[in-house]
Amino acid sequence: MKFTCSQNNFLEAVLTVQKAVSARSSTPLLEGILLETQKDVLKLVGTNLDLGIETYIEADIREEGSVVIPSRLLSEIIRKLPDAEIEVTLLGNYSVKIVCLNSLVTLQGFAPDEYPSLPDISESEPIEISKMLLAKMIRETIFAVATDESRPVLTGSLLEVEDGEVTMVSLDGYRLALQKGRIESSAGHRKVIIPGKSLGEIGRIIDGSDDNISITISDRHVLFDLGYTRIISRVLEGEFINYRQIIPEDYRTRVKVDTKILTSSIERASLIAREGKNNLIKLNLQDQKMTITANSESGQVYEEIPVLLEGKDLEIAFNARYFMDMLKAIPDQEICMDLTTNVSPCVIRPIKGSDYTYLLLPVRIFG
Amino acid sequence: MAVIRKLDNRTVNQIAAGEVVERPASIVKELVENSIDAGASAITVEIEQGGVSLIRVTDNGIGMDRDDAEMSFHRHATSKISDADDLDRINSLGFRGEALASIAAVTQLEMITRQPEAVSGWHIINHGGQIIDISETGCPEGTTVLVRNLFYNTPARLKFLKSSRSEAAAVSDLLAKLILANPSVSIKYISNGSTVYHSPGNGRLLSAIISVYGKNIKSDLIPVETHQENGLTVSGFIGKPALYRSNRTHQSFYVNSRYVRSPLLSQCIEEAVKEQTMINRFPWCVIKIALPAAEVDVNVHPSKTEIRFRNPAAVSGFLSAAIKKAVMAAPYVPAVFHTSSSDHKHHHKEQKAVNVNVDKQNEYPPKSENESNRKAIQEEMLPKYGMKNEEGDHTINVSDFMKLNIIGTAFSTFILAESDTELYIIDQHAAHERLIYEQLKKSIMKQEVVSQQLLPPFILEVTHDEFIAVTDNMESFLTVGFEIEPFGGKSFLIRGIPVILKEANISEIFHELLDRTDSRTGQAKLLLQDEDIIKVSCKKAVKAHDRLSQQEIRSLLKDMDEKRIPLTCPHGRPILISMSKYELEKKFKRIQ
Ligand SMILES: Nc1ncnc2c1ncn2[C@@H]1O[C@H](COP(=O)(O)OP(=O)(O)OP(=O)(O)O)[C@@H](O)[C@H]1O
Ligand SMILES: [Mg+2]
Repeated sequence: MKFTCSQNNFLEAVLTVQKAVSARSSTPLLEGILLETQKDVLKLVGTNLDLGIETYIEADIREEGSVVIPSRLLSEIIRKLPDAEIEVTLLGNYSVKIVCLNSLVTLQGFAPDEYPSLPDISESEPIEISKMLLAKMIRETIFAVATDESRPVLTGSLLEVEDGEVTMVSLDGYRLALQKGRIESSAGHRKVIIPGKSLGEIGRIIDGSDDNISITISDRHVLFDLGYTRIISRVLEGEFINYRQIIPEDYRTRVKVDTKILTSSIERASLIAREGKNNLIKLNLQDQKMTITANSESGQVYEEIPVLLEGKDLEIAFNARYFMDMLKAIPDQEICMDLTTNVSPCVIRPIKGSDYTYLLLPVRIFG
Repeated sequence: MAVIRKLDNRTVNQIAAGEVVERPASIVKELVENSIDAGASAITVEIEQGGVSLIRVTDNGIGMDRDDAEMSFHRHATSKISDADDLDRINSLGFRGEALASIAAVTQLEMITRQPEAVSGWHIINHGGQIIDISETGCPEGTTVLVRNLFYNTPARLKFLKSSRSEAAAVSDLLAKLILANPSVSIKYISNGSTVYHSPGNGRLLSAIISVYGKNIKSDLIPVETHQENGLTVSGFIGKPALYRSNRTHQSFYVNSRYVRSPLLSQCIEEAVKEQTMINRFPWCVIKIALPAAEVDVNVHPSKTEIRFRNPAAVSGFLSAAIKKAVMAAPYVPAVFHTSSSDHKHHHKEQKAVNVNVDKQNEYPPKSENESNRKAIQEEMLPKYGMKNEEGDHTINVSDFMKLNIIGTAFSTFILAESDTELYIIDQHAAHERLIYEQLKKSIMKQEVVSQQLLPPFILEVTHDEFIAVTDNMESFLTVGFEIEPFGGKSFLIRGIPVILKEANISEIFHELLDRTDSRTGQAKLLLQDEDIIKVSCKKAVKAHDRLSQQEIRSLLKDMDEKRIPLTCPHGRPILISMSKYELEKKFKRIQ
């Protein structure tokens, strides 16, 4: 095997597939990236068996062949090379010679034969969705994925497609984040639970361009096809929680508030709240204003924000962090909070449009 | 064929005796209890050869007339209760009417008894349960029971007795307990002709303790005051850490003047002084609990040392509060050296350790000898009562730390400070850690109980035992923020969890909490948080080898004054130790 390509392209490709490579694996082969020539392109593959990424770059192929190279070392070396043409040659015994201008590095690689091949997914009709929308959906919901394993389905996000509408939902028991969007394709009802870890990497790989990405769902896998890059993830088995049932439709108190003002108030309150054990902020909704208080060993905060208040007065407490997670993800200028009692969920939506829903469970204070 | 037949009375008695009479100590116990029930103010117990060859118990109680004296040997003959209802209001130690019958069945017994108002008394001889002679006799008022040749007629059981040394030890142990239980009775105990204990019977528990443990124990005791609450009274003493032992043999509990063994009470005490206790050490205590007779059931076991409280949580809660209060009120500083002429071995070893150090004084750096010396000091600190120095108490009054003159620090770890008469060595990390711990704990106590709501609620399957434990302690789980509801079968619905636990695996945390929940008291709250608090305080505290400025030391001492902290770190190690000027002078042979 022998090829040349630009340092830039090569690095980008290596960094992309590396996202699927585990830093430490019991099989050294899985810590590596598979390089394989295919006519006039070079294919790179990384996988940890849960997630697999393959990408293609242009290369001048002089000799066909394939090899597995330790991923971390390869990416670090390529990164340090100058922005020029790189020549890669497979020597005997799977060692690889990399030449770039005045540098020559040889790396010990592995035989490619045992490298796992990514599953072939082509059974159903793909769903077409814009990269921009998918990126937004991931960004605004992924933080609500459960990190603890006590309810395995919750460690993933649900992706559901129905009647030209696509929905992504994450929920960890304390809050729920849901983002909807419209798509062209008229494929029937489809749903899949994608592990949060995979989804995070996918979010990092896709750029925010208007191009489409096609998603193919099979029983055990989901494929994100970006054309030059294909991302395949294992899916989580089981039934996702019926999120529609959880989101209350009624409210007794409705508050409209400026996102920026609320964010900076809560940020200040958090500084004090997080010093305490509970990281609590208390919201008091009354007289067309929201007061936010927090106290801990270190001190107290009192914040007052003008709001549009409809319905009953209410006093309610939240974990400051869960509130901030949402505020950081939401780009809208104004949000609307619907509340019922101080122990029932608070539903937060942007004022304009109803594509995004965040549901936050309060903290109950006894005494 | 008639194989089954009724046993004769004699055999029945011998078998029954097995339950009451196990060894000499059990006989002594029954006889002394009878004397106490007879209202005696002075009792003398004499044994020979561990009580196997002779036990003599003499009292100055109410005595018996001829009929009663004869009756007393009949099984189930008692003057103390008359019907089953009386069982609920037992105020006497005996009530089964079984002891004398059982003792007589396996010994050669003599009883000499006279009622105070009678001119003469009666002398009864009973061998193996048969009265073989009754005669009128002149004798002092009260009753003497003389028991010879235990198990003479059941040689098989004789074999089960231990050496007369260990039988005597068991009797001593028992008498110690009886003395502590009855401070108003003067009890004299003579073994093989020499007096072991002699309590004054002046009604003061402290006098009783001193007559058992020696007068030096006085300075190591913390009085537990009497408190009243619905007829519940707790009184007694708990030892300072110097008295803590590696087992529980020195924990004595008396409920309505009856010695009892109670894991519940032991655990309650240990929990209350946990912060002062080093690992694998158990507090010393003599605790008396008095409560209405109807609140306890003593009829649980023939030996009557097991009891059941009608409301165990109330008793343990009350006891633990009383102990905590007492311990807080009496901070303690262990002394470095004990100079006691009674303990030559120790004295000698200690001298050696110091000598080594003096020899090498000019050597620099002072290496491993320092280590060994420190070790010697540590060993000296191990609790051993009865070897306190003459000066007695080593407590420093809180609020006195500020008055100490700061000399400096040793090894950037130990603060040295002096008063007029004492040198104090303070572990800077331990002291600071305790301060932080107290502060954190206070702030947590003040904090509201908060519970992060869950949607959907978490369904938790548990085992049968766990189900019961949780159902019994629902309240207590709520106090840490777990909102739980039964959810059919052996499962629970968790609607809310403690906020601090947000990232953790709910079921793991739940089980951990369950494991740490005290099933008797249902106390989950502090058990859960304590370890976390200790961890945090340990991290936040200044470390050994951190150099502290004079000002920092001063503020540390000031905090110690103001916060009135227990003088042990949260792990139970001492914060400071002391050495008196007197002791130093003695070490340097300035005084003899
Ligand atoms: N030292 C004594 N002085 C006066 N009376 C006594 C004395 N010892 C025994 N008696 C009388 O003899 C009775 C029988 O004593 P015994 O010890 O056998 O039974 P008890 O004390 O009533 O119950 P228990 O079997 O629980 O000890 C007692 O009820 C008491 O009336
Ligand atoms: Mg009796």
